Amino acid sequence: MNPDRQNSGIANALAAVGQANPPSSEVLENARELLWSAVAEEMLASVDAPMSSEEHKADQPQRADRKRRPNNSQQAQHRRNASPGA
Amino acid sequence: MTDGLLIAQSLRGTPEAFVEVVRRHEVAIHAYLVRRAGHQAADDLLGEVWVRAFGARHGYVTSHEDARPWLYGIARNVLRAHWRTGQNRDPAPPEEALDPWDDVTDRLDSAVRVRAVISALHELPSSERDVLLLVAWEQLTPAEAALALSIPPGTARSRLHRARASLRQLLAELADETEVRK
Repeated sequence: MNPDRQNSGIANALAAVGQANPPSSEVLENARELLWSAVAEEMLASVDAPMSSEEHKADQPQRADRKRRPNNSQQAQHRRNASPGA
Repeated sequence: MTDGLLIAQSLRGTPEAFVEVVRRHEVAIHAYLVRRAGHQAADDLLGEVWVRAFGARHGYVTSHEDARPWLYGIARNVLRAHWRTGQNRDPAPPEEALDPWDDVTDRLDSAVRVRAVISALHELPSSERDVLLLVAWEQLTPAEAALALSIPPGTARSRLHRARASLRQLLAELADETEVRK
């Protein structure tokens, strides 16, 4: 048998072996449904991310404020230092 | 619009663009799963392929217009994980044992040539069989098969060459036997 005929014999036999019926639309939809869940998760995460960064920004002045504002022990120390008897 | 552009879009704040890529290739990827693992497994695994692909799309080279080779590679990984789970009583089964080729042979008709080819496929190392079937069944070029299997194109070509040579030899032997019988 010449190589061309052999190659085409292989191709034909492989094609016969590799027959696959198309899937039902339900199977495809179920699979896509799983994908949509992952897509939705990512979309929600991307919506949440700017929100939490906004919250972060909103929180910043308070933190800065807290830094500026002396805590109770610092205030007490300050009062002791300022008192004439210290 | 190419698959590459859609995937790029899905990475730039429009993740739903990825669904269009899936719509384009879902029948082909399902057929691949059927051919390698049977209908039931294909139905079960298809969604997992999409979820994994979606999660891995950051690694996609968006200049590649056609996502098929990449998707076949992901489907192949999902199949391997599936076979591994089925064999998990054996801690280190050899690669060949992971590939339930008998499932495929059970679904085939009894034509002598077809049976002979199946038997030859069964004898091939899985690395050669993977390349051969991606080219013969999925119509990938050897370079695309290489991409799917994450191997160099030269390796894919040499595996394909070896696989075809083995099958050719088998078919020649079969033809000789048939001649003798006549």
